[in-house]
Amino acid sequence: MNRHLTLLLVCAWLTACSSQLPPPLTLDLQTPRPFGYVIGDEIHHRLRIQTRKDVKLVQTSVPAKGSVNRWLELNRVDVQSDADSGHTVIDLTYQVFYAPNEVKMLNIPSFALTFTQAGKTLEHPVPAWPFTLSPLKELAVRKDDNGQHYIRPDAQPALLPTQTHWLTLQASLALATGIGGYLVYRYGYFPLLPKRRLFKQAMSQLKRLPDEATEQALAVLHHAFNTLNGQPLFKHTLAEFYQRQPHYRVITQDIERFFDLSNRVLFGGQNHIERATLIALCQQCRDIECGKR
Amino acid sequence: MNTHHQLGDWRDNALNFERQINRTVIGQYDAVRHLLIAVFARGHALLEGQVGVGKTTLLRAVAQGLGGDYQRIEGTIDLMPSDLIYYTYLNSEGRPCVDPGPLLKQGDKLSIFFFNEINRARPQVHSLLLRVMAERSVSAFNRDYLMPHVQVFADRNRVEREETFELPAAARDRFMMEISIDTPTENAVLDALMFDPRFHDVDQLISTIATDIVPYYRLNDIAATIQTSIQTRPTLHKYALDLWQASRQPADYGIRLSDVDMTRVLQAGASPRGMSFFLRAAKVRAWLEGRDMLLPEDMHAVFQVTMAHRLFLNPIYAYRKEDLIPALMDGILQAVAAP
Amino acid sequence: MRALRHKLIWAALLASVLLATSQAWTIYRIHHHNTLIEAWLGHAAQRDIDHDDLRSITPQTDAPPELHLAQAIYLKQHQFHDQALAALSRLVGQGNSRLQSQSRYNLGNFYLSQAMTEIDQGRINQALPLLTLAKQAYRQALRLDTGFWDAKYNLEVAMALLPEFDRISQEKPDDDASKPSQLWTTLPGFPRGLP
Repeated sequence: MNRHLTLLLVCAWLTACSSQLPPPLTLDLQTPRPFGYVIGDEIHHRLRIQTRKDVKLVQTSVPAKGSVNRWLELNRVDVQSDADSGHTVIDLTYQVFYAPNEVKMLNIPSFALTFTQAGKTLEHPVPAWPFTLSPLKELAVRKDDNGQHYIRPDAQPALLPTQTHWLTLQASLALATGIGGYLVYRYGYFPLLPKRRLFKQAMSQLKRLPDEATEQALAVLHHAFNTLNGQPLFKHTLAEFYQRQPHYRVITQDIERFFDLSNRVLFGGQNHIERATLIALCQQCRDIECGKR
Repeated sequence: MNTHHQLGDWRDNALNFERQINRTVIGQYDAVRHLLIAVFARGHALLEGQVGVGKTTLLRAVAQGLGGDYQRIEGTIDLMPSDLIYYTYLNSEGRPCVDPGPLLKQGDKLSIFFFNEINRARPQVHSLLLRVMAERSVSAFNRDYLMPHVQVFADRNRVEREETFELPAAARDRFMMEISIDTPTENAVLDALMFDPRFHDVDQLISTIATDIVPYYRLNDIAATIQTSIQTRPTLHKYALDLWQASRQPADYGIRLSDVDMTRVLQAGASPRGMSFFLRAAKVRAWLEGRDMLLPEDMHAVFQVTMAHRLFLNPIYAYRKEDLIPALMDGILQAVAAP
Repeated sequence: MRALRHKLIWAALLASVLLATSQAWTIYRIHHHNTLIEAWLGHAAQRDIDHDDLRSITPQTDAPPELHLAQAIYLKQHQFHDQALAALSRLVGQGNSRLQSQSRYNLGNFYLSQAMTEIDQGRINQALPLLTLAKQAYRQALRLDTGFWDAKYNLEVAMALLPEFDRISQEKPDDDASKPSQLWTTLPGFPRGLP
């Protein structure tokens, strides 16, 4: 009697334990409405499977892409498993190619998923899914005006789109205009912005002056520098000038040589200079004015 | 060639002199340079600055370096012209005696006459000084005393205005320069001034300057040589003329100052004597820079110091003198182009 | 640095001008193609292109597939069946999925109408392979575009002309997994419309 009781208790305890464990797997088939389909429609099924961690889905047991039967094709299979949570989602997309004469009940066939658990395999069935399919045309044959079978006409190709090309064209034209305008500004071709034309004008004046007009040639360059500086520029105020016009720093040596030369000619009595050096300096300044250097 | 060599040697001496002064009165490089120019241009200088910035030390240092005799007088409200020329006293035998005053005592050896606090003296004293400065001579005891080497240095305290007499325009115009002396700003200089014992005993300090670097009796010759050997070109003459015109009619040169009617701002512009002083100083500056030609930058270097005290503002703007004059000077330099 | 920037600005100007030119050229080409497409589809007044030209013009192989499709429609409308078939075959595998689906559908239409002509003339045996081809083409079109209603309708028409019987499905649905070709047989039965 006592032994029986013990056995009973052990059994009860075992059942209690096992009932506390989660079931090895649960399977939930999520389906859309089971009616109102026509030929060529797609049907999406989603399988949510919750397994214990040691239970593994055998991938080959998932239906493969391709024809399921004569009128049903499996177009897409997508399996997503999360090993940590034991959660698996299988998305199945079927396409129906059945031409019913009237509303007809069809079945997406059932199949079985295989799982392994500690070397053992276990199968879990996925039930068949019935749905109704409707015809698109009446049973009687419809004739068109010419006595031919009525069929839908050929598909006409859409005209080639030009919108993106127009947009790109406009954008690139706008960009080109913008850059062009900037360069025109940089090169001083806007007559209303004289500060950008200083060395351009100086250059043309220099080239017009006769060779012996040394002092005028120097004065032309001095005038350009003075205008650029906003006040008369002397050698000892060059530091302020570079602060105002930092781009001219790259030709510091040439500018200083020019001022020395100018001092010698204008205040020291030297009367011959190479016009080419002046023109070279003017060209360098012109390049800086244009932003080339 | 000979002149050239001579000028070169003198230039070395002058720069040596400048270095020695800069060791004695530290942190006043601009003022020392201007004083040096004044010495070699044979011009009188008026120093203006705050109390205790070293004006007197600076002048004593210069006098020491030049050698020659040095006289000094303190301007006071009761100082009369005769006090400069003679003084009377009873000698030990009780007889009244008349001796030459500070101006006459050294005769033609007088090289520096230092007038302290000139603005405290009366206009009568000023007018005597005018003659000394202009003609380097003075009449006394029925004859003229010549002092060919004299150079007048005066100083004026900027702080006090009470019991002072503003220098008349004529007196100010005869000073070649009005040099402003400010407290040095470099921390190292200030530190040395406070803690270095070298600066405690002024007599000791001054005596470190060699007396024979620049002998005073040759200055007139040298100054004349400098003036003739530095070349000026027509372009520069034109520039100087433009500067002069601009300092008389700033409005014509497009000079603008805020809240000022430029056509009425000046009562009087620079005088011909002022321009002459200005160019003499500029030439000396060119010589000190080792050049034999005068450049606009030399003129810029001495423009402010030789011209600022010659521009007389219209009384309605006089209260803004401290701001307007420097702005006007800068405006003139910025308005006139050299070539 | 500044010199480099300057060069870059010039390069950008050049690039944008080139881009604009190429886009203008592309737009011109597309416009030309679109005129041709409209002419073939019979939409536009065919002022510029006469009938003979329309027939003889063959778009280059690298021309947009829309052009081939439009040409095929034109050729089929004007009873140039062989050329239409050739044009449609050239299209296989070209263009985006919408155009592919359209070309398959048009191919299906081509076979279906051929089959109907054969049936009308009583040549059922010639019609059978054509119908099979048509169904295949429609199914491909629908696989590419499941919302293609015209293809659905025409596939149903083709299926009605050549029904498929699923012998086993009523008895043992599980056997459906085996190959369809072994499973079903075709039985031509052509309803001739209502009396």
